[in-house]
Amino acid sequence: MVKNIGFQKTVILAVLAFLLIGGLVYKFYVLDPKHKKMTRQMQGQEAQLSTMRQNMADLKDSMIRFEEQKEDFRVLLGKGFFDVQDRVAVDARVKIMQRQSGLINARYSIPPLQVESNEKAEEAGYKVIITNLDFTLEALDDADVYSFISLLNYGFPGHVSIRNVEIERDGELNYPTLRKIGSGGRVSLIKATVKTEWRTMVPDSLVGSLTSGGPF
Amino acid sequence: MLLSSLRNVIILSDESIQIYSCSKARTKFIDSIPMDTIDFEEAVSNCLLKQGRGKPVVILNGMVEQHYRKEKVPKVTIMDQSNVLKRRLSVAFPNHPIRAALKLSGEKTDKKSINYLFAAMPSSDIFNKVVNSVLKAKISIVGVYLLPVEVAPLAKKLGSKLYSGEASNATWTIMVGQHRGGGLRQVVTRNGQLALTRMSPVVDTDIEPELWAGEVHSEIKATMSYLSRFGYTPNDGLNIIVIANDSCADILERVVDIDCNLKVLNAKDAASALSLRLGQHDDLRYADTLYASFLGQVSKFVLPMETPLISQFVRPRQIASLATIALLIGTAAVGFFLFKSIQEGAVVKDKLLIAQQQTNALQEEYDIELEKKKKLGFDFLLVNNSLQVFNQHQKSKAYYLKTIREIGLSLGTDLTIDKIIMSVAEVKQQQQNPYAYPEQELSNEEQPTENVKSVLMMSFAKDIEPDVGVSLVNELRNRIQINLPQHKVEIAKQVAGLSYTGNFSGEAGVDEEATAEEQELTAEIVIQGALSW
Repeated sequence: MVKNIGFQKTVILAVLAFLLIGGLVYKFYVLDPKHKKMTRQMQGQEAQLSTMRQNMADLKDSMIRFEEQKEDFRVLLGKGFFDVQDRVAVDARVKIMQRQSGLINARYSIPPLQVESNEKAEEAGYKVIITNLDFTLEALDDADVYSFISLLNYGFPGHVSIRNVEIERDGELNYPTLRKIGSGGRVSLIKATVKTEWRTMVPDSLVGSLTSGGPF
Repeated sequence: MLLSSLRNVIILSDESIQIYSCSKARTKFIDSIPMDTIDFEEAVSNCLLKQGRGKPVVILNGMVEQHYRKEKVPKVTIMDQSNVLKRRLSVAFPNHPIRAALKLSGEKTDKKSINYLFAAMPSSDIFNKVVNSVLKAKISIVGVYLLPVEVAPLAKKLGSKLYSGEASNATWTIMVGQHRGGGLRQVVTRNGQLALTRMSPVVDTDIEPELWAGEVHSEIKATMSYLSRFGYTPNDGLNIIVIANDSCADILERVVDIDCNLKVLNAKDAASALSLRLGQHDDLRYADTLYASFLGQVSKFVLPMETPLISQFVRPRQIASLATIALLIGTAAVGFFLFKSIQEGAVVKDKLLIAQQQTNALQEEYDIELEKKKKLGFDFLLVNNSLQVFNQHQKSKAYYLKTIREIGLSLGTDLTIDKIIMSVAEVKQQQQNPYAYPEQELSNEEQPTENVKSVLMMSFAKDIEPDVGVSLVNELRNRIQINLPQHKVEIAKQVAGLSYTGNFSGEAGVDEEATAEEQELTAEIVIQGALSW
C-alpha cells in the first residue's frame, strides 16, 4: 500500500488523519465539557450576582426603613422568638395559663425539639427549632378553653401555630351537677384537645446542646 | 477543468514515444524518446519529473496495432450491464488485456440490443515500459486512451469551425495528420463518431512537399476505397482536413481530385480554430502537437481503456487522493469548529470573570454596608431574616377564636352544639417575594392561603319532630353563613337522616334500633374558610 501510494502521501494522509481525529477528540472530550462547565459556572455566577444586586438594593432601601424594622425586631425579641424552648419554663408557663384561663385541668405533652430547615435563618447564623405541643384541657365552661387558646396565641413565647382544636361537651348541666358546683366542687363539663407547633429561632452554636438530650 | 489543464501527454508510436507538457497557456513538446534508448524507463521518468514537473500523465496509444469491433450487446439490467460487457469484451479480445467498450449513439438497433464499439490494444513492450516508468516516478496516471477514438471529437469540432454552409452538414470527415514518430494517421468519422482509422507509412520530409503530398493523396484515395464498404455515398458529403506545412497546402489542393471539401492547415492554425494555444513550435506539420493540446485539456475522454496493470497501482492512489481530499475537508471543518468553540469559550470565560469580579465587588460593598448597620447596634442580617422567618410562619397561623365567636352568636340561646372540630384543612403555599420588606409583611392585610375546616356536631331531644329539627338546622346554617359571609357553610348531616355527606359511624347489634334513633336526631354542619379573616 505504502509502496503504491508513496511515502510522502502516506505521511500526509497519516498527519491529516491524526489532525482530524485529534481535533475531534479535543473538541468533544476536552473543549465541550470545559465549555459546559464554564457555562454552568457563568450562569450560577450571574444568578449569584443578580441575588447580590437585589440584596444590595434591599440593604440600601432598608436603611430608610431601618427604624421601623428595629421596632419590629424589638417586638420579636419581646415575644420570645429567640427563646431556647426551655421545658421547665414551659411547665411553669402552662400552669400560669391554666390558672389565668380558669381551666380545671391542662395536661400537655412535649416531644424532643427538632430543627426545621430554613434558608433565611441559616443565612443569619440561626436555626429554626420546632416542638409539637399537644394539650388536653378540662373546663367547666367552654369560654375557659377559648381563654387558653387566646393565651397560646398571644401570650406564649415564640411563634405558636394551632393546627387542630377539638372541643366536646363532656357532661350534662343537670341538677346534681349544679349542686356539686354550688358546693364548690370542680366539675368538668367540657373536654378539649389542642395541637400546636411551637417555633423559635436560636443561634447555630446552641442547637447541638439543645437537641443532644440528657444522659438517660 | 483547472486540473485537466495541467497534464503531460505521452503519445505512443511503434518506435518511440513523444512527451508533451500541456497547460492552458501552451502545449510544449518536451522530448521524443526512441524505444531502443538505453535505460528507457529512467529516461522517461526523468523527463516526466523534470521537464514535465510530475504532472498527471495522459497515455495516448497511437500505435499501429489497435483492434476495433462493432458488437451488438443484448439489453440487460443496469446491475448486469457491466458484467455482460466485460464478458463480451473478454470473448471478443481474449489476447488483449487492455480493452473497453463504447456505446454508439445514433445507430439503428433493434429493441433487444445495443450497439457498442469494442476496442482493445495489446500489452506491448513499449506500453509496459512507459507505464512502469510513470509508476516508478510516482506520477499519477489520468488514463490510457486510443488516439483515433479520442481524436474523433477533435475532428468533429474542427470541422464545425472550419466549414460553413453545406459542408458543415457533411456526414463524413477524414482527419489526416502525420505523427512525429512516423506514419500517417487517418481518422474517419461518421456523424462525429469514429468509423475507421488507418495508419500508413509516409515519407517524413518538409523539403519535398510534392513527394509528401503525392503520398498523402494516394493514402487518402486508399481510404476512400474502404469508405464505400462503410456505406459512404458522395451525396453524404465529405470533409477532409489535413494537418500539414503551409508549403504543402497548395500542392495538396491541386493534387487531391476527390469530391470533397478539403482543408489543409498547419497545427497552429488548427489549434487557433479550436481556441487552443500551442505556443512556439519548430515544426507545425505534425499533428501530434494538436492532439496533445486538445487532449491535454479535455475534461472528459471518450473511451478510457481498462488496464489491469495501471488499475493495480492507480486505484489505491485514487483512493488515497480522495481520502486526502476528504481528510483535508474534514480537518478544515474540525479546525473551524475548534476555532469557533475556542472563541466561544473565551467569551464565556470573559463573562465569567466579569461576573465574578462584579459579585466580589458587590459582596465587599454589601459587607461594608452590613458592618455599618452592625455598628448601629443591630445585626442587620438577623433583624431582616428573623422578621422574614416570623412572617413566613405568621401567614399560616390559624385564628380560630373569631370563627368560634361567630358560631356562638349564630347559635343563639336555644341551640347548643355537642362537639366542634377545627383543623387546618388545606395548604396552598403562596409564592413569596424573597425581597419583600419584612415591615411590609408585618402590616400586610393579605388573606392567608390555608383553610380551616370546622365541623359542628349537634343533637336534638328525642321528642322533637324531624321537620322542626330540619328547620332548626337549616336556620342555623343560614345564620352562620350570614355571620361568616366569606366562608362556605354546608349541612353535612341533616336531622332524621334526610341527607348525609360527612363522616359516618354505626353499630350493629342488640341496640341497633336505639343507635339508629340517636343517629337520626343528630346533625353536622361543615364550615370552610380562611385561616384568619
